[in-house]
Amino acid sequence: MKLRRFLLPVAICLVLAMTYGSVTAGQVKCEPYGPQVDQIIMPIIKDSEAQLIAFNRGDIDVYPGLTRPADINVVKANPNAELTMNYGFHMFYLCYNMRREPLDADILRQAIAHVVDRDNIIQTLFEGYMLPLAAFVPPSSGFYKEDIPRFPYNPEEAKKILDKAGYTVDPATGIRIDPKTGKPLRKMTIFTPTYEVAPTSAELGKIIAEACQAINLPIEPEPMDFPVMLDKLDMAEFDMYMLAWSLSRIPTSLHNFFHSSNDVEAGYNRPGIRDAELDKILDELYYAPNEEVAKKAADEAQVILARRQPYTVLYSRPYMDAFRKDRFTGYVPMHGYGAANYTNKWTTLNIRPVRGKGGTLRWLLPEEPKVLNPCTASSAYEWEVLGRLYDGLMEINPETMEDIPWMAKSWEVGTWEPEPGKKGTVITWHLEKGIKWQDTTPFTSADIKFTIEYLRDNKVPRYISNVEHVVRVETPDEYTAKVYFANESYWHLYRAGGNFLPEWIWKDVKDYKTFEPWLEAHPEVPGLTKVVGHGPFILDQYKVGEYVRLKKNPIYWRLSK
Amino acid sequence: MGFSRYLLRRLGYALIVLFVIMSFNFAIFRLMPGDATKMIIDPMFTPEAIAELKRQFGLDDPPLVQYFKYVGNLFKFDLGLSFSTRRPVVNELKERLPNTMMLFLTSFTFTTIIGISVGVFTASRRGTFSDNFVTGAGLFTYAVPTFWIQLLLLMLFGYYIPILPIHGTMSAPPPDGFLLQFLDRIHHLILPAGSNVIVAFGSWALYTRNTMLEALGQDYIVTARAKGLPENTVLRHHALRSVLPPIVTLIFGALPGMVSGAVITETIFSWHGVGKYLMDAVMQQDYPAAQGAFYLIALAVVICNLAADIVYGIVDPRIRVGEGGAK
Amino acid sequence: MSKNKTQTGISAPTFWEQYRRKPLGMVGLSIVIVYVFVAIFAPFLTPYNPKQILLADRIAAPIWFRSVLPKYDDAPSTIRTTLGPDEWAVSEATGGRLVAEELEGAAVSVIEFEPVLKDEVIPEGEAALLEIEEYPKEPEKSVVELSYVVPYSYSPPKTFGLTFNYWVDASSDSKTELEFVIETPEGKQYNLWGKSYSGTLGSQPARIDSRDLTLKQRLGLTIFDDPAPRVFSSKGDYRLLLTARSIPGEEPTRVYISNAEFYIPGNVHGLLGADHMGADLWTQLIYGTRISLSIGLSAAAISVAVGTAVGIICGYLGGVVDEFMMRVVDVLMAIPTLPILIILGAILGKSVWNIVLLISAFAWMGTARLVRSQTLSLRERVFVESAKASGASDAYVMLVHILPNVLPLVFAGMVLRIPSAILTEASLSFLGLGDPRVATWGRMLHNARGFGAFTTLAWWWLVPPGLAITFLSLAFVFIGNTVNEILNPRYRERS
Repeated sequence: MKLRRFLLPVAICLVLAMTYGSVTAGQVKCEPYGPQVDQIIMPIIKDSEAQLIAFNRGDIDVYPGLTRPADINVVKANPNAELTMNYGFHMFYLCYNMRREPLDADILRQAIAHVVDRDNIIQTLFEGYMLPLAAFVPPSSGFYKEDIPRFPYNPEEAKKILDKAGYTVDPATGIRIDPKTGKPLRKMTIFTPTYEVAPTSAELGKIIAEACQAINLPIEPEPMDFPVMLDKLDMAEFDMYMLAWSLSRIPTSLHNFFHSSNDVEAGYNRPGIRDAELDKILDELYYAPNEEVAKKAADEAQVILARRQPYTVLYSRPYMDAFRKDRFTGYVPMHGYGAANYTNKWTTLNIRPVRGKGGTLRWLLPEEPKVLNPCTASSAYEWEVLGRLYDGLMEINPETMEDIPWMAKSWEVGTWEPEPGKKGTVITWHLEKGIKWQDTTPFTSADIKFTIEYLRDNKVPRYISNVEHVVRVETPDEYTAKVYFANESYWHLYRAGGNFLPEWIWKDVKDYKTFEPWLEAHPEVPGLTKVVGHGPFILDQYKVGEYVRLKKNPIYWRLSK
Repeated sequence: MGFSRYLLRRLGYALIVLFVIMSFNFAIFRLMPGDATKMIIDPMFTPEAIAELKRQFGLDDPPLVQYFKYVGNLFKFDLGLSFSTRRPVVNELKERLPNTMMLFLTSFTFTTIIGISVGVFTASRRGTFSDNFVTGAGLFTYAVPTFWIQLLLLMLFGYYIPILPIHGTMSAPPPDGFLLQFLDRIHHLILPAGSNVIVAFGSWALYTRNTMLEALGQDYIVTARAKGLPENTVLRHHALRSVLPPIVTLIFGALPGMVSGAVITETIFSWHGVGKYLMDAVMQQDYPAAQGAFYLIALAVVICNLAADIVYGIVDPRIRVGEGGAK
Repeated sequence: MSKNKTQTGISAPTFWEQYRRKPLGMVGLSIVIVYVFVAIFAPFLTPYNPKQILLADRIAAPIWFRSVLPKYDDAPSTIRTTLGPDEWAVSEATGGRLVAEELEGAAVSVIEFEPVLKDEVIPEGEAALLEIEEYPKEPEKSVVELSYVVPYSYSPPKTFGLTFNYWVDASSDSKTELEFVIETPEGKQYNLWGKSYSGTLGSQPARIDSRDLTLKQRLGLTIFDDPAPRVFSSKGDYRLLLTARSIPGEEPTRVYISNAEFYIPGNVHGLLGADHMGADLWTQLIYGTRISLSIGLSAAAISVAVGTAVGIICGYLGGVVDEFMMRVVDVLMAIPTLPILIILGAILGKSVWNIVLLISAFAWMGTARLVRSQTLSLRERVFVESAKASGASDAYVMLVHILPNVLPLVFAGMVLRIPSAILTEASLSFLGLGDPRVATWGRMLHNARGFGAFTTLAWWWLVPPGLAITFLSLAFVFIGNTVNEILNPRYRERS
């Protein structure tokens, strides 16, 4: 893969599964211990001009998630800045309504795929800072398949395949004729968000429509307000539209997007693809008993999807993060999540000043975090804060993207019989000993049980899909938790959660929706709020509109020696 | 017609205005194209999760029920849950109101003090320069876009000569100690409040000066001068006293405009207040939040208007009588 | 009519006689005339249209900075050259030549390679290519190199690029290679692009751009490096070399190259520079005049018309209608204007027409009150009483007797309403609620704030739109005050 060499430009952090053979790379060693700084101040700056100037003046040390080419150009002109770039799970796509003529014909969608000039789009709209993507799973996922049918940019080829399939140009109108009806194709539209909300998406709609017109397809762009657009998509009243997904490293989204059972009103199968062979493979993927089956099904699904083109995928937005390398080091670029995302535990633990020890790190928050309640927090900015307060049962190896043991020293995925003749998955977690909540209470299997049951019983929307199939949680001892699911799926492994709720605080919460734990002081431990985690940092203060202050957790279970 | 009758009448109007704004507020956000709930639903939510969310936001009731619930809740200061944060809007507004008040009161105090002083000063020292200055300042207020002046000042003192902060109400984190924190606040206030003052004081100065000059031409001033009283005494004891009532009225009359101007000032200086909250909510199509912020701003304006009416009624009894007729 | 004339009535020639003696009024009028002139003749005052982008590099400075500010002494202005058969020089030709052809009205450069000798027996398959190299005609040396000299005398640019389409006509046993190289004055060669094909090839776009990832990789750079300053690092003559190599087959190999465009977007551009998309700011400024003038005038006209109608009807009819309408006026006046416009603007959609209607909807109340009180006093006048007594209908009285008498007041009010309509529209556009399809001054300021004027300290992007708004508003204030002075001497102090 030609992009590989741009992915890890700084310290390559090799964390070998199970053994943590800490390998030295770049300036410092990347270790599974930390944190190395005493506190993180996260100034909330929404205005992009102010963000840039703050970074260049040294008012912030970490500038995560750069997206605008202009900003990147300003940052890279700063000799003290280090930019990192990693593939994420973002995917911008053009979706076709396959329920409607004439877009139900594969050949037409393939022809349109041939006129999508990804390189040109990326250069003119994004000054080169996007990664062309034509696959249905981003390359940062372990399930990405390189070898799929492709339709490279070639308008001549598009014309040729259309001519061959009988879509000849009508000399009178200059529009291609639908071989099924013998009449010129009807006018079709591409829905995009408006220019104010998403200028580049709107512009893209125009570019694609013009490219289609050049091969005599009557396609027009139509920017519209987001709620209106979503309404129409839900009712399947569209020809084509363009939007982005933010996916995860688990490819179950393919089932959501392309299985015929999701082709219902407001379902996620927006293109309305109904393909029996594909359905079978996607079911195998969704209910895969183990990783091998999942991998095989994901591969097959990607080939079919690439051929049938229910979407034409355009590009993927990489994570681009900037660091003040004159002041801090130890940040770890990571596949899929970038160097500064909260999912990247390694940067959180390893980032440290170039000179001296401890110190204050200033980390930009580009939006208001607003809600620091783990049950209701929904935006990425909220998790940028909360994510650093919690640890997961598993973490992700930054280089191989494999699961590695973290709070759970090991786990088993097994099966059981929820009722005779039916198979369900049971996940057994074996916890590390000596993990403590930030208020010194020990972290045990009872916390896992409480959290899962709390989320399930209260139907917390964010977690419903994770816990709705949980039948029960057993805790044979303090360090073992068995989670029983009513159906069988390997993916249940990723649904046990990582942001656990301390029982002695949450059991008295009547309404989790209106609970504002960050505004309430901890009943016993001074200096803590009711946001109590078990991760490397403690929430010290959230001054609305101004900043968030995190302090090093002095009793963190993986404190560096 | 008695003063209390007049007062009641004005209060009645204020309530009608509030009611209209309330209903209008309810209607516009529900007549919008598209389904508002689409904004709160995460693409990965299951149908159960979506139904649960709709229930939480009260979006599964028929419109009329929604309206009565809405009005009932308003009286309890319950403005609903924000779509984007799922927090009570009233809590979010509470966190932002002090910032808005601080900026507003500072701008307002300095604008009136400087505007009136300049007006009085130039009225007492008439001459080509002072006349031109006040007229110029008045025109400046009228013709120059406030946000443009604010942008220029921001670029000059925030970026070219970076001596003033460019966003927020305090340093992150603020320094320790009360005095230092106070100074830090002032430091952050200079640009937003200062730019407001620079743009707005001109009209005050012009108005004060014109009122003063009119008063100076009145018979009793001429008499006082003829009696040989010193010019200062004439100004202070006679002229100023007679122009105070209209100026006080003006003060209250200008409040609503300044309240609604907060939206732009707060947006430009990333000032974490109610105006910026409204702007963000509108941009994110967070209807409950936008409704709440708009309601709060409208409430402030209605109160200001009511205050202006009352003061007007006190300083100029003729109005009360006029009120009784078909105004 | 003359019978009904009141002391506010004044004939047009007399009005003008008085008006021309007021210096401020004349200044205001001249300014407005200049703006109207600019608005009407906008297309003749700029070579571009406001939708054209990529005319220069992002946030380019005005071109005259080069002669004023030392920092911009040798900043590049946009270079854009079309390279057709007449422009390319053939610097090397072995076994082939350059032919100029015309296809569908466009000139095309065709590189034609001679075929291998007919009597040679060509083996089949892949081996053929290897064997061909043994041919006496030395086909591997069948090379045509096109070159073009770009004199470059500026500081290093940020971007450069070359685009063209090409296609190949050849027999299937042939092989063709294309390559693009830039040679610096020092003789260093940067190999920026290359492709190779067998046989015939349909039209292909070649897009060589310094921002392209593949190009950066070819030069061994990372995605965050800029090739342009490295390639164009010094001043002098740069050679663009487009090379075609061929291993010809039985038939002649013809490589078609459409007119190529070479560009270096300039760091300085035009009278006022360029915005973040490389669009011309001067063009936006003068086209903005159209929008501001039309929004200002139409919003003022509509609001004053509505206000006058409501005022006359209420004042003349009185009673329930009056009471109701005045309460409506009270309520509307109590609603904070800018916040409600922001909300309604976001909901109703962003077209110029919507904005005009919205501004008018919240601006007619003042006029209504003023006209109403004027009507109240006119109603008691003798000429109205006598008209009523002689059996004239209400509509007739209002139209013929009252309207003409409130017009002077209304007219001055309308002129004074224009600046506030202009300012309101500018504020809305600045907040991003304007019509995105048209260039307005508020939108220019919105872009300036949102897309990098501050970090680049591009004051030339920020200052002109504000000045344009200010002068136009001032002009209308001057005119309005002058008109008031002449027509409504009693109201002078109030305005």
